[in-house]
Amino acid sequence: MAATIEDPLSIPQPFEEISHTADLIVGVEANSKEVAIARLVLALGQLLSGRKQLSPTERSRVRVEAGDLAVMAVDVLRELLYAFSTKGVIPCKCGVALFDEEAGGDLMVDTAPYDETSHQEGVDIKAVTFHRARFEECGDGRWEAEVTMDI
Amino acid sequence: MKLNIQRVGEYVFEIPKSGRMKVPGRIYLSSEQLEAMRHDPALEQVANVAHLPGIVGRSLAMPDIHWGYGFPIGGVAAVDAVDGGVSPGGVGFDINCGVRVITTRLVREEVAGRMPDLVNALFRAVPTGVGSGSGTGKLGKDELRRVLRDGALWATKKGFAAADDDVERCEENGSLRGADPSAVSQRALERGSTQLGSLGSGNHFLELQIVDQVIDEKRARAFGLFSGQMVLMIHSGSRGLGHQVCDEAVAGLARRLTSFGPDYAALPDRQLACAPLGSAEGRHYIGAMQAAANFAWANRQVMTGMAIDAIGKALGVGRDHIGARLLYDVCHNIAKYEEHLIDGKRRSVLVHRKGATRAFGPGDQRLPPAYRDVGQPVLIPGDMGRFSFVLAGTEMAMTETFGSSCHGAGRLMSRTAARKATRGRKIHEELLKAGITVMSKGRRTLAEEVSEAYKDVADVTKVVEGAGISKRVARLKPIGVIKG
Repeated sequence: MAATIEDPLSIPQPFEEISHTADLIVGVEANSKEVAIARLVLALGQLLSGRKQLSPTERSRVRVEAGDLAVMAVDVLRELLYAFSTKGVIPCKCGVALFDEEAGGDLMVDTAPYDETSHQEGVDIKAVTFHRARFEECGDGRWEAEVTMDI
Repeated sequence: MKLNIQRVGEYVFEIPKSGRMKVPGRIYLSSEQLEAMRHDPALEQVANVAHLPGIVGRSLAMPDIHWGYGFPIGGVAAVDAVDGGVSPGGVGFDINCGVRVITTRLVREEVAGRMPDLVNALFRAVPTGVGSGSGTGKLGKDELRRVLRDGALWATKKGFAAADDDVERCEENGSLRGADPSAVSQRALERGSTQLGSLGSGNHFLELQIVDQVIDEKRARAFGLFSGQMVLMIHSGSRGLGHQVCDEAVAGLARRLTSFGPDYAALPDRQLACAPLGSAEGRHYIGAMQAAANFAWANRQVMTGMAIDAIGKALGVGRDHIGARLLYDVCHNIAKYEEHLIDGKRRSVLVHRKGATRAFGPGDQRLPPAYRDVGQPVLIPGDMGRFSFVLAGTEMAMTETFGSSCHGAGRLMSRTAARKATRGRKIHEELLKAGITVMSKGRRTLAEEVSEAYKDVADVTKVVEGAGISKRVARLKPIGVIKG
């Protein structure tokens, strides 16, 4: 599993909904930072659709500025949430060309259209926050990331 | 972080200044409530907020405090109007999320048997749910800019109203004068253009309620409330437009925490990111935030007009018969320039209220004339199965909490825990048996918003009354609920 442009990840992918009183913390684990960011992207898709099966109809590139990986991860999700809010599209496949503190991020994201009827159990995510945002290598080659979403 | 929390009054606890905290923290809770949340990150967030540049007095938290992002929900912080910093996260994503109550002449006996018709009519009239569309149709950019400038007044001019004095009965007359529509980005305008007059989802609601108990006769009379009366409560905010304004401001500041000096760089949470009020970034955010606040007032005003019309149609009666009048409209996610008495001196400050309600006391000239003798109406929604309250502001709130009180019940359970706890249950039917007709877009919302997911608002309001920062006036019981 590489989450590259040539071999992107598709939903469903594992993620954890970590308990938070009012909001939602999404946590992922992976064997590389590319898989970790792709899993965060696809967690967003699974939450927005109410974990329904999605068939991709459009493809777009998401590019974010270089910086702290946690900030970059939040920026990727912010961009995709904006696309959901304005175009009604939900991420369902993700390949990562670049995700690097020095060079920035460049992701290919396939999306499916939001359907009010079949996705009515989806989560209404207002925003992706920087609160306790975490994206780090754990020392044994594993990567962990956590992002809090305002709902 | 291990917090040192000291009791300083029956309902008041203090976190003394330590480390880089600039002021102490103060939390309004009963002993039982504090014990129940000893390990809650929200308490640490009160201490975190005490690090804000230019903060004065204390970092405050109301009894509906719960874990937020950056600020705790229920947090209040005032910063010096010249030397302080504005924290977009201290306002929140749903800028000017707020509550209004509309009183009517209708009484329980007249509406109790008509609930299915009324709830259906309201559900059809007011767009609800994820990405819910507009009650006004898509707005062009020029029209949207007028909404951002004029707030509730824009909507009343278009005929969306309960009565002819709605605007006077909104906090700030339903519009912040410093709003700068040109500071609102194209992205935010795009999100707002299709959402004016929509409820949204999550904890937002529209409820038909009955005045179940009058607690303070004098104030209830001043507020136009009487036992057995039907009122309408609306809880909503600035929808995607406000979310986008906050999102862009926090993201911009989070990448440059170090550029405004050591106090700004040392903030303990990126989501507390601030800009100095005098900086270009600070002024830009304030202008955009105030414009988004005006959008929220217009949003609640449009829904008011639509809801009153829907009630009339469902009951087959005219507006005269309904006798709708706005009691008041309060915002509970906002930052506002206000003057307060601090350490014996009048000072100009920017008060952040993140899940807290303004609660000005009697005699304050900023209140509508009808309420100056009794204090500001403070509208506190509970949960959909129990009660909501109308309170009044007090003199003590002016000296102790920058004229602030609680904003709701406060969540007790996470949304995931609430869904697990309600698995297999039929919330619709449970509520119906309790005399509450509910309609929602999704089952998930009902499960997440179930009564036991919240603190009992009666306990929360008991604390603010016990601490002297608000006075209970009336208790309201829901009979019809619309959720997103």
